[in-house]
Amino acid sequence: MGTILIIFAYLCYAIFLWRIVWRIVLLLKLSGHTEHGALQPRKASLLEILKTGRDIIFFTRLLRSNPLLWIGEWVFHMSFILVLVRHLRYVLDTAPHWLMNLQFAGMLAGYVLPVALVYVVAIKLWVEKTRYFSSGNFFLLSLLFLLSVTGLIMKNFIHPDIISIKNFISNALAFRFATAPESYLFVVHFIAAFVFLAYLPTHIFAAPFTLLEARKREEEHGGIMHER
Amino acid sequence: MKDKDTFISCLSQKQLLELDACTQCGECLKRCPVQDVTGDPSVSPPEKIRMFREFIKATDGLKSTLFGPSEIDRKLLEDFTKAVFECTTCGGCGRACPAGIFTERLWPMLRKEMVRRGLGPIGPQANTPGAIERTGNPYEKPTAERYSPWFPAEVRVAEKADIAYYAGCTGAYLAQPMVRGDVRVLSAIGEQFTMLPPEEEVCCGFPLFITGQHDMLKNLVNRLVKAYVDRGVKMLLCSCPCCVNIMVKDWPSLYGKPLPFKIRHLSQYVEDALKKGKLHIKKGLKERIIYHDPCYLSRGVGIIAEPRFILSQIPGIQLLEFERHGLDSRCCGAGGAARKVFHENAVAMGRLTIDEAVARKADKLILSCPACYEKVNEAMQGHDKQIKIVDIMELLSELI
Repeated sequence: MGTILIIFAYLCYAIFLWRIVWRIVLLLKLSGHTEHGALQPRKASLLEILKTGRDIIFFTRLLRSNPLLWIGEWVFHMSFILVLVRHLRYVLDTAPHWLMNLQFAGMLAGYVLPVALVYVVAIKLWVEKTRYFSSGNFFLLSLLFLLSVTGLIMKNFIHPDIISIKNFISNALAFRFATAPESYLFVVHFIAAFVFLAYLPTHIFAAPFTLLEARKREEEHGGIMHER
Repeated sequence: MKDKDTFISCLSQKQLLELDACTQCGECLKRCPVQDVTGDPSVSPPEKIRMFREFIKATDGLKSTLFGPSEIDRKLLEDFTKAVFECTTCGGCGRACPAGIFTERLWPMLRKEMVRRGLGPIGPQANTPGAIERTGNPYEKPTAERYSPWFPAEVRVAEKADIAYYAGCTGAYLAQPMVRGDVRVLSAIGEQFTMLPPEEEVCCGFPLFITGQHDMLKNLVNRLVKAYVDRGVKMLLCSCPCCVNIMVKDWPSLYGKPLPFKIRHLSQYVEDALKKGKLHIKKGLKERIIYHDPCYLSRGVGIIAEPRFILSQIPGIQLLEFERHGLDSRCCGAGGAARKVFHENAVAMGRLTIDEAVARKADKLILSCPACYEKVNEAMQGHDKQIKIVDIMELLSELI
């Protein structure tokens, strides 16, 4: 089982890497293409970069268009990051001090995460009665829900052997085959995590660039016809 | 053109990133006028992006790199083409996009790709280049009738002047009260202005650009710029938001360098004239009026305050606002040349604008775009709700 899991993890990792490399190759193919209408593309100012940082961290554009959904999405993303950071202790040989200090917040985030996911789905399906819910997003949300629920069960009810998990992860990281921990919940959690990695939505890499462009465009908008 | 050919050749790096940045969240559907009247998510912005990503994957993905590009289902390509040409390109979706995708520019480029593949444009849109070639306008109307039916006899136009007025094809042929109002107001301001002869004032290129048919663009722009330079023009005025949009955003790159004159929307010039006391509004109007922001004027080039300033100067007037106004304005249905093909959608969208204006108990619906003017007037025919539709300069010309 351990060998299968490790091969599976590397396969998912390879898919993830390929998706990134493929996008970079496509972008390089278009390196000579300038956007229609762009006579002199300009660099972003420091202020625009800072404002974009705020847009990325606080999802300000979503806040502007849908505050009700924004709160759910923001809480979900932030709790997901905290949970992810908390998991570093299973990967690192010795967990640094700051990571240990984050454990409590990460644990709380673990409880908030599934609630935020349910909130987002509820807002979309029952409050806004949205006509559009992409199957890809639904799959990812379900996967995250499975991840968070299995994680919470392992935390609170069916405790797997943490030492054997850490051993397994350390071996897996070094591509050494090892025995899988004797916990079906862990196996499900592990598989779901790597399926998520393989399907990781690439907008998390592209959106910072488009948000920066949107910020630049919005700053320029008032000056299109009103230049001095 | 085989359907195995790459799908990214019309895109910039930025646009490729934009396709990737779409989270499929569906926020844009709430601002999409096509969704308002069709309720069909299969023609929604995220679905168009999803389909186009699939096309890219089929022709440029790992499988295609290793084993050659796969043939894309013709029906899927046709469905996508219909969806992308059904759009009014109003940019409302981009305004709502949490990832900041510049859809106002992305859709025309996806259209260009479908034109390159021989799948677009749709219906009468395909006649546009030929019509412009033959008559200088996309409606194939006689060149000699570009000005004559509406140009006021009392207005004088100089041979050469610092200021030029470009009437535009839609105004000159389909929204004549609007352009008549434009030149009357210009004349009342008192500064000399010039206009190109009807055979020289050709299409600005917008209908070609927006339908993805870019072959003639450079030629049209060079002809127009040269003609204005020959007349010593320092400032080109125009009241059509679509024309102004392509002039200010695309003419420089099509011309190959910065334009030798400024582009100004007429409302900017009139606002300035009112502020400097060159233009006086002599009559008042005790009415409730509501102003509709044309998408390409507000979201497009940021002209939002000027029309409102002009209207606020009319004594006795009460200016109302639509729920969605300014940068968030709702498309009236005339945009993106979609009205030429998806006529029922356009009429239904126009009626949404009329209905809201009537619900807000406005006496007049004020427009400032010839395409809006034509389409909203058409939408009112046979509609149970009626309101007087007036162009802003048409209204002003009656009060000065």
